[in-house]
Amino acid sequence: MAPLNLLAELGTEYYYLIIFLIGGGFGIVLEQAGFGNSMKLAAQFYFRDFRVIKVMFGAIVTNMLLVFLAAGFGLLDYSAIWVNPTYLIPGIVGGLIMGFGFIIGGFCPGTSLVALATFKLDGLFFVLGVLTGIFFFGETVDSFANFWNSTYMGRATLQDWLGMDPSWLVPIVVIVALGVFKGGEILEKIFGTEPEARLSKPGIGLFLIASVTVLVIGYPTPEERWNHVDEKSKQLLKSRQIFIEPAELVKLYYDDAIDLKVYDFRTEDGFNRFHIIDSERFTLDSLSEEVIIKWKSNPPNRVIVLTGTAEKSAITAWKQIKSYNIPNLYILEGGINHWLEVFQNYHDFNAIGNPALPRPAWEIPKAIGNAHKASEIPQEDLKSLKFEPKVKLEKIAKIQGGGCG
Amino acid sequence: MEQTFQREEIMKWISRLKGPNVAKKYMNPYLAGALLGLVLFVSFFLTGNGLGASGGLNRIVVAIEDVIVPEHINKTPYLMKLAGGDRNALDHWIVFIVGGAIVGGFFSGWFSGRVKVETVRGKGVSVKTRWFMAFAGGALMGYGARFARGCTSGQALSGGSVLSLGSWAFMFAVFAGAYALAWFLRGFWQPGR
Repeated sequence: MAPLNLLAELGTEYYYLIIFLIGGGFGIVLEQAGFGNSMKLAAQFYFRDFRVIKVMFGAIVTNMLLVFLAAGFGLLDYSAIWVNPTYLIPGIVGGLIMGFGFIIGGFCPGTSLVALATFKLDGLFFVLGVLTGIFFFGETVDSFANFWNSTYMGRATLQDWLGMDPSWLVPIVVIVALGVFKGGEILEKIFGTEPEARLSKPGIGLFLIASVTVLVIGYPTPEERWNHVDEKSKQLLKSRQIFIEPAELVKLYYDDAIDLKVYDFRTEDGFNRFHIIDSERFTLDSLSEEVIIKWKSNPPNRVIVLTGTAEKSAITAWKQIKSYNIPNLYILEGGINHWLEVFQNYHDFNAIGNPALPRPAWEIPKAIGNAHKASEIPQEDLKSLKFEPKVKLEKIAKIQGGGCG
Repeated sequence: MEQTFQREEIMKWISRLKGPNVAKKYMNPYLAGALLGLVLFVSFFLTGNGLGASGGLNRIVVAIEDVIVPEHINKTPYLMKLAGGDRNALDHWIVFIVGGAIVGGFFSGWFSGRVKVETVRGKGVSVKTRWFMAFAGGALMGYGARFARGCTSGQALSGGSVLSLGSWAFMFAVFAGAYALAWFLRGFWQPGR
């Protein structure tokens, strides 16, 4: 599934060559669009020529449609592509400054490169200005670093902020863009001196058809994501390589080299009666894409162990989380039922059923959470515990992140 | 007879390589937008990243600084992240996007007859004034782009198309800033020179 990890597969030289060619395409299209010409760019801000908006929003909408179409068909993993992190206020302040720079200088950095490439002297001076401005930023930023790093919202997306399914948001953005194009064409007729391009009916039709397709296909559900997961992960689950015994969980707890997190998918009542020390309660509903994506930036020695009453809910959660390629993810074999079975000597709960079933197999009268003896097995007792160790820290390939940030 | 034919063919190729004498018309902006979106998609599909420009220029500046004053880099936290110690500021994909864009822009201009040493400016504006304004605007742009952690290519085009919240806020701010100041600079951008 895309995005491909070309750096790992092709090595640095071929990776950079492909990037260079992509950059070439970028430069060609910008120049063909006339963006090496500062008069053409500035005309946008006098309503004479809506070229800038047509190209920018045309590109934004085209890529957005292609990305979400590909995601809907399971060809591209939206959670794995670079979505610029949001630093809300610095972004707005920087944007305002850039707006001033745009109308004073007549370019933005990308278009100035194209102007420079076609020997425009105004482009040359603009680029020199950009380099100078960048230099001054580097010299001064550490004095306002707190402000520059403020209002950080992580990988915030429009759909999360609006609480919408992206497959609805995409058509809405397309319709807004079409409205902006139409409005622009009207303003061009009023303020412009030359006839400008109008969006053809086939063009409008294409955008609308693509939008409807995105809407109908929908954004992949957790089950659909699991279907597209690679064979290796599916094998791990089938071969039970990722199920660890209660004794191994105790060992992980005392292992200083491991950053352990235990997530418990039982009911609130069950959790309040008994849970393993330092475990956190989680529900399948709260396993949103937003939450899981945050775990992509976990430290490399983070090991996550999922548990439920038995194994059913933990397996469902494991599949959902694994579809986002979260490494070092394990399931507690047999869940809390089996934990209490193995550590029977640490409690006097009555056995009330088959521990293999996803129903509590132990009667726990006092709801004292992690204060039971069986919640925290003492380190000295580890010596007498035997288990087949399964946990192996995976080496995570580092992909080069965003360029401009 | 055959010699003349071959000579004609060679002359045709030379004139193709030289490029047209008269500048060709610009591409339909909607078509250009769709093609640019396609380039963006290819980039995201193959590499997981979009496009960008200011980041590459940033790294070029830091790389130059690293040659002239490496000790300064190692003392400035913001610069250290890019070029501190053994790090090569130019060893990043964004630099190659910038390189490719310049080369691509050149060839596109060359074969469209638009490569020309000139200063594009409004009616009644002197060359020197235009150069000064270009430099001043560029300086604001450079500063603002790093402030915003990206420019119209990296934030608006790339981030906006994958629905980053910050990118959309940024985009509105850019247009707001430009339109706000445009009225006061209307004399500078008069067409018809």
